[in-house]
Amino acid sequence: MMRGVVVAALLTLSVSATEFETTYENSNFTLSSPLDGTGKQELYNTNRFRLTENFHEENWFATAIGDIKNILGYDTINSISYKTASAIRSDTPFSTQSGTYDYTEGETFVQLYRLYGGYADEKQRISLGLQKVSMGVGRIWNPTDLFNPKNPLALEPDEVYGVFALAYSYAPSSLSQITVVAAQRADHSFKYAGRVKGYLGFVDAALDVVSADDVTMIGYELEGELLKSGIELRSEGGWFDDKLLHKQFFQGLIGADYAFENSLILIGEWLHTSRTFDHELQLQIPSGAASNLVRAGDYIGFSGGYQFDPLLYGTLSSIVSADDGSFYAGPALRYSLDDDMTIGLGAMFYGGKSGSEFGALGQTYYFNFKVTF
Amino acid sequence: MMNFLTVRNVKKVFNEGSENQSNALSGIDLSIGKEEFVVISGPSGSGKSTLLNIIGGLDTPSEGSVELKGTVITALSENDLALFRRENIGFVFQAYNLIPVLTVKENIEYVMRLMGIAQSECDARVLEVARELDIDAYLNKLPDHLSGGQQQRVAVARAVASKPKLILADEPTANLDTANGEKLMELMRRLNEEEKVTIIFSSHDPMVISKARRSIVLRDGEIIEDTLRS
Repeated sequence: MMRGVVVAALLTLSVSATEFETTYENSNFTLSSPLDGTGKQELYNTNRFRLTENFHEENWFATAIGDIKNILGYDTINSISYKTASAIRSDTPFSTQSGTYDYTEGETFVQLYRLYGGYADEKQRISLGLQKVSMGVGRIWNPTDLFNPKNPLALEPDEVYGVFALAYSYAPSSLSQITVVAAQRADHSFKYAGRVKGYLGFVDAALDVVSADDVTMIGYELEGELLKSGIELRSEGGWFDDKLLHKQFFQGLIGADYAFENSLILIGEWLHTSRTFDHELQLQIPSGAASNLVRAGDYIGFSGGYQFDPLLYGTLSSIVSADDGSFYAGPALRYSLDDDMTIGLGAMFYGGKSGSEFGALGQTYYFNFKVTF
Repeated sequence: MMNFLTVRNVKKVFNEGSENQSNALSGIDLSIGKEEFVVISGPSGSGKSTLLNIIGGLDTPSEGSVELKGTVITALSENDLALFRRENIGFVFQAYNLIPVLTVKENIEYVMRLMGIAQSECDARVLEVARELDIDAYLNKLPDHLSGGQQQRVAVARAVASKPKLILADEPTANLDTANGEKLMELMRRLNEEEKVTIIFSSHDPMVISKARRSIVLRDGEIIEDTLRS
């Protein structure tokens, strides 16, 4: 029924004077990646054609984003890691992905990425539909984000699955905000969140509460500048009660970032969890906070970006497990052929001793071509 | 018989200091030998699952220690414990916990893959345990296409495939009918004899309890009976 309301709203608004913006984007990755346990590198290709439709009419807005995805690589699509990763979907009361069309060497499917609409003015914003619910202030991790499951197959940053939710924000002043969210899940139960955010004189602070049948969280967010130095400090964390695992734990981060005048941007974060979940992850035991389950108690994350010249941009991201010393490092270069076309080269390096979290993962290299029109 | 597992004065208190404090285990002393086939039984709330979780390193005791194969697992760091658990202990749950998008073969070899075992070795081992558990005909099927009894056998196969020294099964037959429950227990008994693996399971089902060679009865967090059957 809720989906019908969204569609009806979009159709109704379409007959009045409206402003539509249509964007097409095609992003293609060719990767060389190790195949589970075989010790050999597999070459495969993923292509995503994305149609984005944005609508604005005074204070009304709507967005629809749909993808056609193709994965070419027989061994890859039949691997255990691909199958388990591709099974992670939006937790929504309706399917957001079509069945796959298998053609021996690969598979194709259609995915609804976003479909939501709403109203926004200076004081308030309301949105309904398949959307990303913004949670947390972290750049590398977001422990308080219990709504948007990350897409483990995504090769581009910020690719998170949406949730079907009604979200309302009210800003009593320019420095404060109250947000409430109700998201309906695949089993038709609801997950609720509330956030109160305000400015405490030297820092933006927020208190978050999330409640659902399988998990409860009380969390916080802090964000501010260190003594007018230009260094942004942030912290985010939550106390979780996982009702499926019958475990309670804390997970939080402290981070900092700084943008130099020469366009170099550096981000660092430390993620700490009061307990680890190696067993639960190994055996895929159902959890109310699945995205928060980790193998190590502490991780250090780093990300940097640098604009070499107007056309060439480089990034380096890295995560180190403080428990076993294993690491991930992901360098990447992106070159703009023109305003709408980029090519990129990147790699994902993993290292560590045998049995460590990242040590068993092989190296991946990729080439990306992206065009927007 | 040499002690394979020693539990010394293990106590477990939940919500200590609060109004709803509960003493799940009140000082358990227990020794289990290698290749034993043991059931821990007792009414609901007697502490069966808590004791199994502590033996498996999934929970820490409030007091006491657990020694397995000469290693005091209660003194290990989380990292070392996780590694020890992977290499030595297999788990079977009441709720199967199979991954629905993976075939039976892939579910069985999943843990071995995580341990970095080569594909060829995984293939051979999967076939071996699948034949032992009579599920080799279903290796390419998805779990949803199997009966409850078949799914539980897949779960047992997964637990056994990496050749653990100890299998812990928490109410493994609770979701099965009597006939499938009996079959599963016969299979586990045969595994115990042929794979030489120590098996400890919890149950309150008299039929299941009767299959074990040794029965340990808990009540209110204490051992009230420990019987070895011939």
